[in-house]
Amino acid sequence: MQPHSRHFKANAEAALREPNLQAALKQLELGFVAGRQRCYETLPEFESLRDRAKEILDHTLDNLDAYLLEYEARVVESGGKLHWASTPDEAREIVIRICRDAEAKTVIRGKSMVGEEIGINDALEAAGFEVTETDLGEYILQLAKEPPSHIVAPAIHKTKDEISDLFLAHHRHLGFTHRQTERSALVNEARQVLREKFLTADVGMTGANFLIAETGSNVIVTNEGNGDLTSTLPRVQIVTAAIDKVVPTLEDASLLLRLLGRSATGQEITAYTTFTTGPRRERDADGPNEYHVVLIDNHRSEMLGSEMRPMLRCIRCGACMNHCPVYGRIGGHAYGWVYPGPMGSVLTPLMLGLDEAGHLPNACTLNGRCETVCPVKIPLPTLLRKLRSRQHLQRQNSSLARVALSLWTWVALRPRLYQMLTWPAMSLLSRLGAKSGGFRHMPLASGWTRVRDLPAPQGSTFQARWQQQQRARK
Amino acid sequence: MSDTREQVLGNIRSALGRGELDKARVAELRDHIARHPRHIEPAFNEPPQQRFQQKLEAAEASFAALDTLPEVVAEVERYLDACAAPKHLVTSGDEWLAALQWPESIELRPWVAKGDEKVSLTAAHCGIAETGTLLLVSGEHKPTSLNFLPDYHIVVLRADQLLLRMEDAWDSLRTSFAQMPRSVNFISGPSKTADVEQTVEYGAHGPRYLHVILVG
Repeated sequence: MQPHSRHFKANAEAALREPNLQAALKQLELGFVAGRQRCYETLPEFESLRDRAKEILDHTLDNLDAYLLEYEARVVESGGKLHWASTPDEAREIVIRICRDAEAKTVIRGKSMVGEEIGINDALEAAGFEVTETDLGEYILQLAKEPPSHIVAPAIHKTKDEISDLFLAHHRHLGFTHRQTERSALVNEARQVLREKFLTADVGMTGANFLIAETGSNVIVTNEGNGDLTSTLPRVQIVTAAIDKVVPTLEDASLLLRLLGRSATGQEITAYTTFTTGPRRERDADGPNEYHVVLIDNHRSEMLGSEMRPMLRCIRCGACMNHCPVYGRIGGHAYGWVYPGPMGSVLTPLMLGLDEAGHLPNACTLNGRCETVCPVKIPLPTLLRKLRSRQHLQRQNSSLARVALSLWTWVALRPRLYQMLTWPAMSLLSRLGAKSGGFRHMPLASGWTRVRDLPAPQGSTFQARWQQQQRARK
Repeated sequence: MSDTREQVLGNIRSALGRGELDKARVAELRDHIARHPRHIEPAFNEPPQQRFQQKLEAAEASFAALDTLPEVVAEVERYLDACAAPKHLVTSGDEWLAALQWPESIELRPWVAKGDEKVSLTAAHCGIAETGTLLLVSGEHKPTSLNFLPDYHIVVLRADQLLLRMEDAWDSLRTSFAQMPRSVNFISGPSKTADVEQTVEYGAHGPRYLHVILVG
């Protein structure tokens, strides 16, 4: 998809005024956030699982080339084909070539974020293939021609009413002439429409939650069973996966699976977890004849060699966005590309450049909730701060911000001057605001006070307290 | 595309600040894979069978425990009657399933599901108590489509196949098969979705109902 991260501010303003989106985001707190919390409280081993997960993934990244080669050898042994792609362009070309070689006409897809990342749907459609998303949320968005707004629940911003309208408009010609308004009826209608697609598709495309070096398997985690049908029924299966999805052993995957469902949706395990290895075997009753894996780099090897390496531990659970106060107010579309929330604010600038996505690392209050809940302990606020300083060093932030920062730096490095300038202002504010505790309006700070109160300074200043403490020590 | 392969591997190595790993290190990593050490395995106190049943029922699967294998026939008939489901079953080709004394009222057809079958009956490779999970594998007489296409999925599991954790299932697969079966399906309840307004609905694409029969 065409990114529009550079319009983040306008996107965010618009999102704040969408009542349906706001209602959906409130629901997120009650659903995913509460669910994760329940899982956290009932599993005493949660913290030690996080530590171990981090160790496993760091070990894998340290030896990434070797584990990818092991994985490749097992894929080939099991009769599959592995294709390497360093850019989205290459990945799209490979997928289209496989589909053409198979003389395919129809492609069904199971939800895959890397598929979104490389824009595979548009490319396949442009090449003349009929593409159908089979994850219900992704299918709804395909009908609406919208990108996902959440990596786990892509259509979280859509209301039942909107879905009813979409289904009526797109399914009428299939004989579904009644506008369904019950959730169960909508799910059932999609089941019937998509069942036909499953049974007739030539190619099934899925992503991979993990790739297993030990066996050459790809793992997909779903509740709907769509990914499993996509892996089973068509005659050709194509897995798109990024190079950071590989883990050494089945046991490693088991540990990560214990964290994934709990962190994502508050489930100990999803309805379906499927390990697929190669095409159907000679005597197998069903399964595809061809099994392809397209292994995609897309800037990940650059991240591996930089201070951004911890981001490659990400298992795409979405906990960071579920717990992010910024995402919680503006939803996923405002971020302007495939990955929203804290993880997206790190990944998007690294994949599209700070030119396009420079606003995203700044759309963060550094409150740290994302790092606290991240199952693989990615220091997201630190990475966002590093991106901000990259931006500053590359002179990519606004000139006003640069002037203000230099001025502040100059003053802050001179403690006496700093005190002289700030003390009178702080004591005035503190006296004026003593009664109400805050200000509804403030000259020069209307950007803040337009949408919230400015709290009055409480107690003495940091410097005063520091000096007091130092004196007390002596 | 072998150029791309070398390029990606080369980029990874230079990012890691080194060249190709030496043979000794690669051998160590292969050994690590071969040993596949277990990690932290969360403790639970309930008896395995109790936990297995509780977890499955919490995920909206139904459950029956029987003493002997021949009782499976009556249980399947009872379940189909209770659900008012048709008595034509597609089944996995397990000999012991076919060897049961099925009445004429129930029709069994060992075959790949085509998409319009209502009920499937399959045997599980094993069960996992920790999460209330069934493990089914593909094979000559074990079509994967049976696990996903019909509306009702009935799975039979022997009590001695009930293991504690996923890691035990890996050991069991390693013992039973020289190579990972093409499809290894962990199933922990009927198909569901929360994609319409974050509210759970059952029967998204896979079975609407999952019935587990534990024998022994």
